Amino acid sequence: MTSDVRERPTEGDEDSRAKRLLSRMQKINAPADFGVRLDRRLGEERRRRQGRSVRMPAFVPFRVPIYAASIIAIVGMSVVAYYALIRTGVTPEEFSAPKQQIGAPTFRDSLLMDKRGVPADRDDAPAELEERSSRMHPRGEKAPSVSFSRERKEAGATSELKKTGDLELAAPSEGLYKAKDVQKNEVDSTDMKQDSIRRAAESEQQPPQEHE
Amino acid sequence: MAQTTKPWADHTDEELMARFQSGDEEAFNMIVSRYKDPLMNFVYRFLGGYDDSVDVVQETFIRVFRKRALYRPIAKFSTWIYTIAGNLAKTELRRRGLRAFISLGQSRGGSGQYVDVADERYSPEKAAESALKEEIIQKALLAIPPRYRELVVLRDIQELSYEEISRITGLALGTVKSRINRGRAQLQTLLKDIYNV
Repeated sequence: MTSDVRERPTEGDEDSRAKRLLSRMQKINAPADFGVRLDRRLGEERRRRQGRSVRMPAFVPFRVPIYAASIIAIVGMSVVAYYALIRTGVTPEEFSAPKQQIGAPTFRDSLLMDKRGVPADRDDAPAELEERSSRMHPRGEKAPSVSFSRERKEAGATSELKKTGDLELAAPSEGLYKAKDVQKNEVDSTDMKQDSIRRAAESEQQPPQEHE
Repeated sequence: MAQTTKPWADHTDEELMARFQSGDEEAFNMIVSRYKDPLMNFVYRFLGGYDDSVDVVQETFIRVFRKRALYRPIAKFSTWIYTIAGNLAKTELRRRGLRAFISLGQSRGGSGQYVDVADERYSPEKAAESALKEEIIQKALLAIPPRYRELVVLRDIQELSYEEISRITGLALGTVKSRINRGRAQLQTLLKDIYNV
């Protein structure tokens, strides 16, 4: 018996219709090469498992898990580092402290140098530079000690050879400008530089003093 | 010489798993051949996308292989493997940030909702009609929220019992039943037009 007029289904009917539709859906199957692909992936899995252990033939005749090998390596490195520090006598503070640049000239050095880079407050510096140094610092006050590298000594020797030449103020090198930046808070660099130029000019005008 | 061992087909899932746990990989192959199609059906209906579903099912078996020592026979093996597959499928769903990409829920001149299927896919032939119908149902399934979809698929497509679904999902029995009812109600709204197809 057919009827053109469809009866409005009840909620329960629609619910069961949905259920029936779902249950009649075509079954989805795995692809034909599913097993082959799975075997390949399982092979990779097995290899990865084997890769998690390492053979240490020099020490142990059997395989060691990778985490155990890592722990052994870390402990070994720690022991080596500890004894290395103890033997060299380096304290952790010294070890971790930032290293000061050896021989790096300060701005004060630049004021005490002539253009050939010879510091004026060293015993082996040329006499004229010592004299300049004594003028720059008040009497009784010790001139600040500066490092005097081998290169500067050689430069001083050159300066000695050219003693008769004019004393000119050297333009500070790039490193010296950096040093100036470091001491920016202490000294007004521009004023100091002008002062040094003025002193240099005075020393040009004055006749060389004779030492007793 | 008579074989004393049971044929593989007579072993229960739990027995196969016990043999696999003791190192018999042939038992694992038997498990794969038993479950690859049901899992494929479940994951495909839940996730959509054939290739992604294959990947998820393969990953499920790899997890079973890797975690075989964790299985205890106090639970049914099917519950365990469906739980793994469902979790992986949900993870995949989150990863893809998959939203129902079908244009369901659009109103066409009023109250009715429809499933947007391209006209050129329609064929008067019965087989094509059936395929079209199937596609519409699949799209409608993917349009309902995953928390309902999983339960509806497990119940109405995989035909598992409410108790087993409850164990697989970890939900209370009442929650399972109410969610299945809500899922079906949403489906029947979406599939209103297909009843006349």
